[in-house]
Amino acid sequence: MARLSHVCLGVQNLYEAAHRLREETGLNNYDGGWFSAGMANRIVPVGNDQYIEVESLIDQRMAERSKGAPYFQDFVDYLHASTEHGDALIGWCIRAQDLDELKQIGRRVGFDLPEEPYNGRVRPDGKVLKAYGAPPSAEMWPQGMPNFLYYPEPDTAPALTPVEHRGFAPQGIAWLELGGDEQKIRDWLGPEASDLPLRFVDGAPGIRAVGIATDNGEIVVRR
Amino acid sequence: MAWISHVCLGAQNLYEAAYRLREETGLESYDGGWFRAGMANRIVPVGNDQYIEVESLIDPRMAERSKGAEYFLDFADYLRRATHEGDALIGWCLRTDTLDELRGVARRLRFDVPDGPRRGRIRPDGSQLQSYAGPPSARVWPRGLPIYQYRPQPEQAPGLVEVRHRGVRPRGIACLEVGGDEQEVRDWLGPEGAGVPVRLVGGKPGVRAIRVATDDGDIVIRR
Repeated sequence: MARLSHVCLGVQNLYEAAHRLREETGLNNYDGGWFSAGMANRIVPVGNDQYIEVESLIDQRMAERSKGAPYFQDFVDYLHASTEHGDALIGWCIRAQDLDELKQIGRRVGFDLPEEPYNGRVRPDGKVLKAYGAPPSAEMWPQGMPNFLYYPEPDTAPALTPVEHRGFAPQGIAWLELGGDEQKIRDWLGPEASDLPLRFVDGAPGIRAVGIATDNGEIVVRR
Repeated sequence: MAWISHVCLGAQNLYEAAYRLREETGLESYDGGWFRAGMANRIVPVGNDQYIEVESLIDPRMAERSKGAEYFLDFADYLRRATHEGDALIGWCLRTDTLDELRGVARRLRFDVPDGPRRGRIRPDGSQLQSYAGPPSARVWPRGLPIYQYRPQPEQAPGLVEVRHRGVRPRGIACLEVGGDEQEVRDWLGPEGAGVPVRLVGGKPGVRAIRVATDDGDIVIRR
C-alpha cells in the first residue's frame, strides 16, 4: 500500500519558521539542502518514516531562471503566492512502496512517469536525491490533492535522519485535516491509499492541520 | 593584537555557493543559521579559529522590515548590490582577544561599542550568538575596510566547529589580498592590526582573494 510520505509547510523564511515550529511544539529539524529551482528546506522527521518539509524560496534569481523546468514548472510562483501572508500547509505527498505501484497509480489516474528518476534536492553533503514523482506539485497541490512519489534509494528517505526532539518521541502523522471535495480526493487516492487518516472539513481545498502522535500526547500543527 | 576572524563571501544562494566552493577546493561547510535581518549563512572553518562565512539574503520581506535596525542598517541592500553579478568577497572582520582591546580600537577609530553584547546569528539549535562589534559592516565593508569584533564566549567561535573537509587540511588564513588605498587600510588596521597578513594590491577597495594554508600548499579563493 502507498502511504503518507510528508506534508509541505511553505514559509517565507525556512530558518525562522522551523525555529518557531520548534519553539511551539518541540519538534526539531535538520538542514535538508536546496533545489536547483531556488528553494531550500528543513526537514522535521515525525516518526514512522514521515516528515514535515519546511520550505521557502531562498534565491529569487535562480527561481526565475528555472521557471518551466521539468517537474518544478511554476512551483515557485505557487509557493510565493501561498505564503504571502505567512506559513501555509501547501501540499502533501503519497509514497509508493515500489516503482510498480507508482506506475499502477499512474495508469489509474492518468499521469506519465519519466523513464528515469528526476534529480531532486541537493543535500548539504552534496548528494543529489533522486525520486520518481508525479504529477508535478504545482499542478496538484493548489487543488488540495497530493502527488505521488517513489524513492529508488529508500535508505536516503528524509525522515530516517535522526534528530532529537524536545522531550518526546513522535510516532508518525496521526491525521490530516483537509478542505475540499472528499469524494474527489478519495477517488484520486484510490485503492492504493484508501486507509489514510483523513479528516474532512468544509471550505477551500487544502491542508488545514496535521496531527502528530507522540509518546506524550498529540501535537497539532495548524497553519 | 587583532587578528583575522573571518571573511564574508556574499552569494546569491548560500547553498549553491557553498556547494561550488567545496567542489572547487574540498572545503566543507556547516549550517550556520540565520539573522533577523533576512540573511542566513554557512560556515567554512579554515583552521586557526578562522572561517569563511558564505552568506546570502534568504528572506527579502524580513530584510525590508528590518531595514535600519540597529547594527544591520542597510546591510541587505549592500549584500544584494555586491552580489548582483555573482559571488563576491564582500567584507572581512578582525577579532580582538579582549573587550578592552576592542574599546581601544573603537576610541582610535571613533566608533561606538555598546555596553552589552549584540545578539547576532541564531544557530540551527536555536541558541543565539553574542558579540561586540563595530562599526556596522554596511558602513565599512563597501570601503574595503574590516570591522572589529570581540566574542565574549570564545568557545562558541564559528571557526572552532569541526567539519570533515575533503582531502584537505586547512591551517588558517595565510594571507588576504586587499584592494583600496594602501595608506587608508594601514591606518585603519593601526598598531592593533599591524601583524595582520594582508597583501595590498591597490585598485578597487575590498577583499580580492583569500589564501588558505593547508598541509599540501595554499588554496586561493578568488571571487
